[in-house]
Amino acid sequence: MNRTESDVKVLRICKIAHNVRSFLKNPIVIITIIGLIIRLVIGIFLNYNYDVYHWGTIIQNYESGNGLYGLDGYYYTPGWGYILGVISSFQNLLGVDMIGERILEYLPIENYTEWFLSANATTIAFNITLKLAIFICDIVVGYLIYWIIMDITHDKKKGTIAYALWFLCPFVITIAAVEGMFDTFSTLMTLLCIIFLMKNRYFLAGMMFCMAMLTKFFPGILIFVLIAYVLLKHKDNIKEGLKCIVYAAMGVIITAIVMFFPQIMKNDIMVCFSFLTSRASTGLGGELGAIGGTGTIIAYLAIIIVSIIISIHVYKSPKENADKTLLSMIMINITVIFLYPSTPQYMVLIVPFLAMYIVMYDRQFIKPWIVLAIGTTLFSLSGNFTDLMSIGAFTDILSTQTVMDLSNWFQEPIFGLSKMGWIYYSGAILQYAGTVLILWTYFKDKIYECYHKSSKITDT
Amino acid sequence: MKSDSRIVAIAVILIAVMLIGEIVVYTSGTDSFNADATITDDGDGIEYSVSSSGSNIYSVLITDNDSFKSIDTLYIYYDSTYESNYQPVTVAVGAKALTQEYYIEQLIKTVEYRGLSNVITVNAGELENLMKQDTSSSGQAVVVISGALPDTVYTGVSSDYIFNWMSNGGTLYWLGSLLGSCYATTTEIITVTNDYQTLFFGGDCLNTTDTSNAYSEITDNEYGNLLSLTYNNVKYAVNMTAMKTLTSDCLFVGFTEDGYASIAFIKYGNGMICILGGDYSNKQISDLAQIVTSQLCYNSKLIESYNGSVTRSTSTGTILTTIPKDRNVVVYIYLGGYFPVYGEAFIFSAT
Repeated sequence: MNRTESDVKVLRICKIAHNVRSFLKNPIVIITIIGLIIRLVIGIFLNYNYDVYHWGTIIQNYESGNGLYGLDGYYYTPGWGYILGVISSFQNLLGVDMIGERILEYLPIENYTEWFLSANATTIAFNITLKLAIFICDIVVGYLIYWIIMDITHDKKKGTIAYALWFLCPFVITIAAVEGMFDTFSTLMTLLCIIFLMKNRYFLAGMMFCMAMLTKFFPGILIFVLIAYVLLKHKDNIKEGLKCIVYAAMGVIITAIVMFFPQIMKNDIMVCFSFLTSRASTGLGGELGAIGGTGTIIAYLAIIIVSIIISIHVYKSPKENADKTLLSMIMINITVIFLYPSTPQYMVLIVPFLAMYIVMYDRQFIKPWIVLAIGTTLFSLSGNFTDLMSIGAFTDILSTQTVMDLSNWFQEPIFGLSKMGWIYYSGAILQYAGTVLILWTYFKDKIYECYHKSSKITDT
Repeated sequence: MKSDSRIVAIAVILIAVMLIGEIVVYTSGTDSFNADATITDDGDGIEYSVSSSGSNIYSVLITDNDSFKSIDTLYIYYDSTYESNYQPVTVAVGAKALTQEYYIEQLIKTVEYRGLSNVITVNAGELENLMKQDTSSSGQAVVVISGALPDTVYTGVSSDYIFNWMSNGGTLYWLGSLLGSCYATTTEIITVTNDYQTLFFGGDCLNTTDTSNAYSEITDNEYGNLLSLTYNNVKYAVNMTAMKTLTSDCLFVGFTEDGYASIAFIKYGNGMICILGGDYSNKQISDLAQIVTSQLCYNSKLIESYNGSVTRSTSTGTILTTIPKDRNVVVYIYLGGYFPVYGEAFIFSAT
C-alpha cells in the first residue's frame, strides 16, 4: 500500500513527538530541567552583590584598556578573568548595557563592617546573563560525573543519581545562582584533567590541570596525587610513567605560557599571584593579619605534607584499582585542603568526588553530603535579605526600603549575636562538621581496625 | 571502553573559551569607544555622537564653567625622599595594598582612559619650580596624595608658594588629611600650629570630628548622580554651611553627612581648592578622576544633561539649549555609568 504525502508527514510528526516524549522522560533531562528552573528563579531574585559587583569592576577595568591587573579589582590568577571576557562579549551581544549602580538607600549596609556587604547593586540582566554561563558549566560538570560513572560501572542509574547529587545539591545551586561564583569552572577543568589521565591523554590532562589551577588555586594541590596515579599506572615501566608526566608537564607549561602571555610580555608575572601574598600578609592588616598570615602559611605547608603522604599511599596501592584509588584519594585530598576553614564556594570542588564515591563505592558518604548540603547552603545564604538588593533596586517587586528594613532586622541580635551571625556561624560549623565527617566516614573502619589490633596485642 | 571524543570536544571548547577570553580582555580598550561634541551651526545646542563596539549606557553633561579655565595639565606630587603623611588603609582580602605609589599609578591610568593624558608626576623640587613662577597658572592642577605638602611650597605661612600659585589660577586637589595641618620635610612631618584653615579658606570649615560615612546625597545640584560618584565619606571634608558663610564661590557635590560634603570646590584667588573627603580608597580614585576629567569647578552650573544607551553602533543626538558664548562651556561624555570605561571632555572656551 502506497503512503500518501500527508501520511508521511503524520508519521514524521509522530516520530518527533515520540522522540521528544522519550527525551523528556529521561531522568537526566528531568533533573536538568528542575535544576535549571530552580537556578533561574533563585538567580533572578537573589544576588550576592559584593562579589557580582566585583565581576562588573573587572569587566570595567579591561574594557577601559587596563587588562586584568592594570587597575585594582582582580585578585586571582587569570582564568576567571578570561572566562569573564567571553561572558561580557555575550552580554554586549545581548545588549546588556548597564552593570549596576551604587544605591543611596543601601549605603547603611556598609556599616555592618564585620560582613562583606556593599551598597552596590548589579542589574538583573547583568546578573542572570553572567550566571547563565555558570549554570551551563554546572550542567557540563554533571555530564562529566555521569560520563566517569558510566565509563567505570556502565550503570546508568548510578550515573543519574550522581548527576542529581551534583546538579540538585543545594549549595552547588546557591553558589552559582546567588553568589555567581566561578568555582564550577575550576571543578570542570579538574574533572577533565582526571578523565584525560584515566584515558592516557597526558598532554590534554596537563593543559586542563593548568587551566583549573589558574582559575582557582586549590586543584593545584592535587598535583602530588595525580603524579602518583600516573606512576602507579606505569608501575611496571616507570620510565614510561615519567615520559607521561613529561607530556603532562608540557601541557602545563604551554598552557601557562599562553595564559600568562600578557604578563610575561610586561615582565610582571608576580602580579597574578598577589592574592597569595596579600591573603597571607597585608590583606588582613596589622598584627592580627600577620598572625593570620603566618597561620595560613603553616596550614598550607601542613596540607602539602599531607598531600604528599596521600600520594605515597596512591603509588603504593594495587595497580588494578588505580581509578578507584585516584577518585577516592582526590576526594580525601580535597577534604584535607578544606580542613583549613574555607568559604562556601570552595566546597563546590568536593561535590563531584563525593557524589561519585557515594554511588560507586560507599553509600555511607551520603551523610556528609547531607550535612554539607545543609551547612554550606546556610553559610552561602548568610547574606540573607541583602541578597534581595538587586530586586529592590531595579524592579517594583520590592522597594529598597523594604530590603533595608529586612536587612536591618537581620542585624538585630538574639542572645548576643545577630540573626545573620547565627546563620553564618551555624552554617560554617555545619560545613566544617561535614568536612570532618567525610574523613571520619572514610577512616573510621581503619581506625577501629587499628584499635582492635592494638587491643588484641595488649590482651595477649 | 567508552569513547572520549565528546570529552575532548568539551576540552577543546574550554580551551577556545580561554583563548577568546584572553584576546577579548587584552584587545579591549578605549579604541572600542568614541565620542564627539560640537556646537550646532545655529549655536542653539550641542550635537554629540557616542560610539561603542559593545553595549554601554552613556551620559552627556553640558556645564557652564563661567570664566574658569579648564585643566590642561595635571601634576601629581610624589617624592620618596620626603616624609609623607599617607595613612595605610585596610583593603579587601586579596587586593594589592593601596600604597601612595599604587594610588598614583591607578589615578594616572584612570584619568587617562577618561580623556586626560597630560599627567606629570613632580617631586618637591619640581613642585617648587612650578609654584614659584609668577605667571598665570590657569589650566594647571596639582593633586597631593601624600597628606602633607612639602616644605618647598608650604610651611604654614601666607607667603608660601602654594598660595601665590593658586592665586595665579592653579587648582589644588587635596585628600587624605586636613589640608594645611602639617607639612613634610625630608626627615619629618611638622604640624602647623597657626590657624592653617584660615590660610586656605579664610576661616574654619574642615571636618575635625569623627563623622566619616555619609548617607545622603547633596541636593544643591545633580552632579553626584550624573557623574556616578561613589565615595560616601566626609572625613577631613568641608562643612558646607561654614564655607558658604566664608564665600559664595563654592560648589559641593557627592554625599553629605552632618553638613560636610564629600567633595568641595572652593575659589582661591584666580584658582581653586578641591577637597575630597575620606581615607584613601579606590572609590576615591574613581571620583577624583571623574571630577578632574569632567572639568568641574567651584562655579560649574549644569546647563543640560542626557543619559542614553548605545549598542555596537554610533548614537547621535542634539541637545537644544542656549550655549553662552562669553563663558567656558564643557561637554563631558562618558560611557559605563557607575562602571566608567571611557570619557572625554569637549571644551568650548569663551570667545
